Amino acid sequence: MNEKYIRKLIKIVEESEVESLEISSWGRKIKITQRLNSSFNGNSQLPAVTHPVNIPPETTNNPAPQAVNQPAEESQPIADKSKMVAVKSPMVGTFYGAPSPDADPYVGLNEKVRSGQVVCIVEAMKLMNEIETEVSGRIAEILVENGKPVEFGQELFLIVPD
Amino acid sequence: MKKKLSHVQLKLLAEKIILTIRNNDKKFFSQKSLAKRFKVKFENITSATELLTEWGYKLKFNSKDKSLNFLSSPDILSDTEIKYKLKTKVIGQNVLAYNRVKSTNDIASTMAMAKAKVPHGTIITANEQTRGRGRLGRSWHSPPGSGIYLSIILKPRFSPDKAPGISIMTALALAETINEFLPGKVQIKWPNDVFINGKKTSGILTELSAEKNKINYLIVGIGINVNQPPGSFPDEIKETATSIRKVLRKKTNRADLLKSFLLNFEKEYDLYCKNQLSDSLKRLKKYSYLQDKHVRIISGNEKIDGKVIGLSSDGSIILEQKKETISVASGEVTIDVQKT
Repeated sequence: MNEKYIRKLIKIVEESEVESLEISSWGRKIKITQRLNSSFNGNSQLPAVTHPVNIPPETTNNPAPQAVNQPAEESQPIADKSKMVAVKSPMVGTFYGAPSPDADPYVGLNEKVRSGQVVCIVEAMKLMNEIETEVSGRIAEILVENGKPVEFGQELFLIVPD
Repeated sequence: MKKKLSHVQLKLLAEKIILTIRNNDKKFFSQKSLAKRFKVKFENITSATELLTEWGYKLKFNSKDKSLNFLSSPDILSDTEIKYKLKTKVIGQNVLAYNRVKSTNDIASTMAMAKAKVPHGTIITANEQTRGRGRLGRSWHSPPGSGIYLSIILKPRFSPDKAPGISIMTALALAETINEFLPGKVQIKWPNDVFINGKKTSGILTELSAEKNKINYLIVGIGINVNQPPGSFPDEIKETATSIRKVLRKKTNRADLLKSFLLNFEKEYDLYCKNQLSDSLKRLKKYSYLQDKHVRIISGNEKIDGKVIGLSSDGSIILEQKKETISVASGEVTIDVQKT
């Protein structure tokens, strides 16, 4: 474990995204650590993205670089979001996804629905309000958990219309 | 002319006869004069009278002058009994009285769905339900001949978000009715359980069909335990259920109770359409089972604790907590015995 060897190890660590490296050889042990974002690191082009701990929040929230990397077909569902139709709650109450506690849910994720089909119940003051979808399509998102309170006009489902 | 009347025609004739002789108990009606009045054969009057006796009407037939007099009506929910002296303007003026059905709410929703023209205020009644429904797929014990099983079809003009308060409005109409027959013992547990001496005597199941901003129809289903004898409830509800008879210690004529309820319902419904529950809050407070009690409300997966201070005009319950006052629109309420 000579100096040259150690320098080599340091270089490896510097060029990597590893924070620390520990090696034992013939009863000797060496540990190399680096502070990834430190100014004296020298390796400033170490991409911050690869190490989430050190990313400033602005960077994480910026979706732009990701979108660039995304192949066209993969971005399709996201683009569709604007075309999705929301099923909204007509009243304040509690959301139920199934007609009774031991029954199957009215609809599941990705399930096809027809316009006029009951998709859930919103209950208020023991009035069971069966909520119907106004469009035919596919359930893209279920936005409320079973048994949670909902507000007037709150979105309950997102549907990709046919 | 010798044509025999069909069963339906005979039924209609029997109903006409009972109405005539009942409304004019001072007047004299011979079977002959009735035959003349309704333009039927004398034998038809005899058959119709037999049918009436079969239904349970008590009639007095004077063999000397061949006159027919009304003595008493049976405790049945028939359209004849319901319409007789019904004082409402709209609610219950169109009656469909069944003897035995699966569920009056099912019939009501089928009718309301299929027939756009079914009038607002139409009621469906039954003497027995084989599959009386409660909330969340629960059942409602509906034995023959002792309870009132009723569904009211409403076509309100208010928006769907105002529909839930109808359950509470209905509970209030029921409490007012039971209070006429059994004063001082009725209470409402929010939102819509009606209690006598702390036990459940009635259940309300409201079902709504609505579009975004418009109610297609609203069905209010009501089950009332009227003449169930003490000890007749099944094991699973015997500790928590009661009937009017059990407390009053005598039977109540169900059609009379129903008519009184329909009148109270109409009154409360008119108030509700104008101002929701604003004009009823005082009376709701009077009947409240939960007022000033510390409660826990389980609303879906949420638990909410607080002290009940009243209701708001949309029917939500208002709870006072340590730091704030909140209103809750849905949930099962249990009283926190330790704090109360």
